[in-house]
Amino acid sequence: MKVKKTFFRWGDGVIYFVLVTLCAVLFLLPVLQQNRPLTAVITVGGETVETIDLSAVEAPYTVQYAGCTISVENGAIGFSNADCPDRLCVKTGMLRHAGSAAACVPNRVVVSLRAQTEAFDGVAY
Amino acid sequence: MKRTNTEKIALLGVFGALALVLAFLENTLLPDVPLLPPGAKIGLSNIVTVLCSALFGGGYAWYITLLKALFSFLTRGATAGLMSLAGGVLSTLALCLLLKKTDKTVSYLGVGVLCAAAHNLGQLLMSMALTGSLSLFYYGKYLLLFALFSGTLTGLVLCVLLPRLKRTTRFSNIFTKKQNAEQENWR
Repeated sequence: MKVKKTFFRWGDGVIYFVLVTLCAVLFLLPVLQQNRPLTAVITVGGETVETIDLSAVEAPYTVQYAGCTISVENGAIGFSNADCPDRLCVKTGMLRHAGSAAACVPNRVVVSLRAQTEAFDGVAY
Repeated sequence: MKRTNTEKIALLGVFGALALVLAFLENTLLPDVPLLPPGAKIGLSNIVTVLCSALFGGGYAWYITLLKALFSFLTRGATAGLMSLAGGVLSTLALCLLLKKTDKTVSYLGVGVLCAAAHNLGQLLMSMALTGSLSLFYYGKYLLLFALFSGTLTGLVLCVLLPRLKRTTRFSNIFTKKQNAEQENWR
């Protein structure tokens, strides 16, 4: 049997190039919409159950949805407890940037952060 | 000498057990590194899937994939089972597409990376489907970045392991017909 000695062929280069480019684009896109006031959206099973303006939160508090405890504070939101086995949502930690999200897949609870749109900024000015 | 079906089944069982043990090890023993995206794994059992398809033929990887999904369904619940199935199916699809090109175009490094990326994409799509929320797409970039590293790691292991495994007589007789013919020509 012929032993293949080549570790790297041109096809590998193509695969690496495509994936690295895709990765770089995905990382650079959200930079465009930093430093806007944040809105947190909590959905259960795809339906929005609560929308919180994180810049208006004064004292930290928690909310409960389907076995998950979500803690809310000024400019940040995240899962603090969940009844699922692996608790990946808690390990995700607090979210602070627009576009970021955390999910408890077994309970189908998703918390995501959005930058508020220009229209609302206009009102603030 | 040709291997019988019984021998193939026995070896497939050994590979299946190996895949389950590796999956179990990385689920429980590897520490949670805070920098990594939650739920990200190195994909050690993917090594076994690629090994299996390279030694027995593309179709045999599906047995390992389904066995892994069934195992996580039984031990870690329905959600984990579905996630494993989605990742495994996409990764094995990518594997089957690439397998024919491993002679000249790609090495197992590329196979490892693309399989890891496809596996993470499958899990991301499944978690999006289960929660009904598109915002989880945000995770994609972290999973992709991690797949680049973990895929390179598993790919390197395969590059080192496969030529040596293929040379051993224990495995050399159970290749697909085409590979058997190649082997005869070489002799």
